[in-house]
Amino acid sequence: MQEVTIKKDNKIKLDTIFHSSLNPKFIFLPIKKGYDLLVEDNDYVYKNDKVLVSPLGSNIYSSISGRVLGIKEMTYFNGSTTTSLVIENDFKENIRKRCGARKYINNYTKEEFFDTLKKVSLHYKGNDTVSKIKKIESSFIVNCVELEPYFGNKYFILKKHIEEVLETIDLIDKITGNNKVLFVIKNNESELINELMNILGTYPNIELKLINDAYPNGRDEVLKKYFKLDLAQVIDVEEIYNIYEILKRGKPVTEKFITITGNAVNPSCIIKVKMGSLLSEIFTSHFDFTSKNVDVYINGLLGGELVHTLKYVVDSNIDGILIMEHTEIEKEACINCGICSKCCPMGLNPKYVFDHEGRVKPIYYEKCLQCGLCNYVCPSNIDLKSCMKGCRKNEKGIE
Amino acid sequence: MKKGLSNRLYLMYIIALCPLVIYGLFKNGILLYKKDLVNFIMMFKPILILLMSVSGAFIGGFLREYKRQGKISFKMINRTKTNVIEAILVACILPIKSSPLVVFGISFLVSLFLSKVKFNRIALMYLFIEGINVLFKLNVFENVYEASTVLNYDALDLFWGLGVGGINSTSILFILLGLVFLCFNKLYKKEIVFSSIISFLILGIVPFMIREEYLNICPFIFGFNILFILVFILPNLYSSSYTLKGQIASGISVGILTYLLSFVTPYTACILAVLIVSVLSGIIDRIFVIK
Repeated sequence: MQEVTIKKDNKIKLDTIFHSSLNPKFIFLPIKKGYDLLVEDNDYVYKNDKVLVSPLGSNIYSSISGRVLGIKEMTYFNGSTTTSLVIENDFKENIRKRCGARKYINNYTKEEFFDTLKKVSLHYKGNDTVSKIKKIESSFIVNCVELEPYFGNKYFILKKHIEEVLETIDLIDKITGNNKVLFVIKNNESELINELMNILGTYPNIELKLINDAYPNGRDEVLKKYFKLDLAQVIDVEEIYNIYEILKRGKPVTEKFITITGNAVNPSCIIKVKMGSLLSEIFTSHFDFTSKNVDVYINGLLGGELVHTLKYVVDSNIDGILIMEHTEIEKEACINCGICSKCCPMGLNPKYVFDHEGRVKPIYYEKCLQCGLCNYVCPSNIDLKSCMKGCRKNEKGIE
Repeated sequence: MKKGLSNRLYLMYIIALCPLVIYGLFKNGILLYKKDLVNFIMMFKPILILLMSVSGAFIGGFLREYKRQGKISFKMINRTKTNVIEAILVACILPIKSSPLVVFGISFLVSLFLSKVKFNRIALMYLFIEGINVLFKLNVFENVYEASTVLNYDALDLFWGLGVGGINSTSILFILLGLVFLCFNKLYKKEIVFSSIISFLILGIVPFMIREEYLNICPFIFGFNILFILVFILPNLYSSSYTLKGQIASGISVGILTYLLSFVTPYTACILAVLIVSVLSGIIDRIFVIK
């Protein structure tokens, strides 16, 4: 596998000021299959109230206080249109039971730790965090490398909450039996490295590991391969911060950091939003497009998708939105260069799939990380990523 | 994001070939004219063959695109670039005695009718032209001067390019410089080139060393257009393997086949090996694809 350094537009710079959009008029919570609705129309819900529950223990919480309006079909970034519960915000942020913050989190016992996390059914990007932590054996990796170029969620969390993150890692380490912790960050984040070097002495089990600013080094599978720890669990720094918030304040995860950046948007920043908000509302109230003709990529230029609408509901799958000036991409016939197969981080062969579409075993598609590196390196601009997904053309959300 | 990597590769090919073409004009034109072996017009025959080959490919490619699209557009010119590069390359390895008209005709026909073949078109064009050359007894690689004298070149002479070979393919120095230059392009399939050169050198040198025939090593490895074909024609984008392991396997196969075929037909050994391996490249790639 060849490491690929992505050429970045130097004009795109993230604001150092933190933004927030925590007052949506409505929120939309997906009523997924198997979930039981705990509220009815016109019911009043408090902030952090459990409104949907699944038999598997995965719950959905309201991120605002307000009245239930009913249900509506809404589009989510994973491509699905799901019936969603609509809650109208009363802008009071009423909480049913205010529980005090815990002074220290390092005095949690193993049972208390897992009980607290189970109570709020902490999930991160569809994966159960509790079972992930339980699987930790001898070492685990803390992933602080951004998934996509131009994104800064993880950097921002570390800059603002480094002590809290390290404290939580130390607790997880203690609870899972003093393992080796690899704290991975990009080697060009010198300011952060210096800061970490000063603090890490107090956490002897945490080992700082630097990785090149190349794509797709932020993917869990790539990190495992890089450090030759195939069986290690990878915990995202955002996930760690969510754990901290739950342990410290006992509240479920109802807010999220999103990077909104690009050469056609102002401001370019990290913004904290409520889960269930509508992207279009966030954009209308906080952002301006600097160009009339723009391309919108959800979750980045490479691993993300080009979309034609912003009427998506914010959920844990959205990490960032890239607004770029529109560029015409002319597709050409494959020139048989093989760069896609040389660069694939999983050692797959996108050209083979492109040539033999429909005749490739499903396991081949399953291995694909959908990182989009093959698309980036292809000199003929062929949409190999969609081929690796199992469909030649993947259009979503056309409006 | 990007692009134009393939255009850049073609441009790099042209730049890499420039010194070879100039040297070819000097060796097979200017030098002969200075020795009064050819007249003023015949001095430019190396360039004439090149131009005829390029124009044949361009016209053939242009007509093919016109037939396909039914209208004339700028993109059509862009789509003939591959044919043009192939025509330049084939003109470089032809014997100086080749007929420019035959070169034009074959180049035109291949561009017009054989645009979709998956195997190496340069090799195919060369073999067609050589076939006609054999019919008319024009397959002689020595120029007028080389034919009129007894040659006794040492390794350095061969390195500079004084040896017998194609019109623009004798200078080992310029071929190696071209190789280094092309390696800077990501699309250039250097793995196939290096594996073929190494395998051919091992096979070419070791038997001579065992027999202690050291003087025969250089003419064998530097002659017969072999290095030029391995550097410029073998790593053809469309017809060679695209997987890393496939490229290495193809390169080794070409090296071995070239060595074996050179006992039968030295000047066509390498190009035949390239053609055979290009036909098999699909199968070679499939072996190395993770299923």
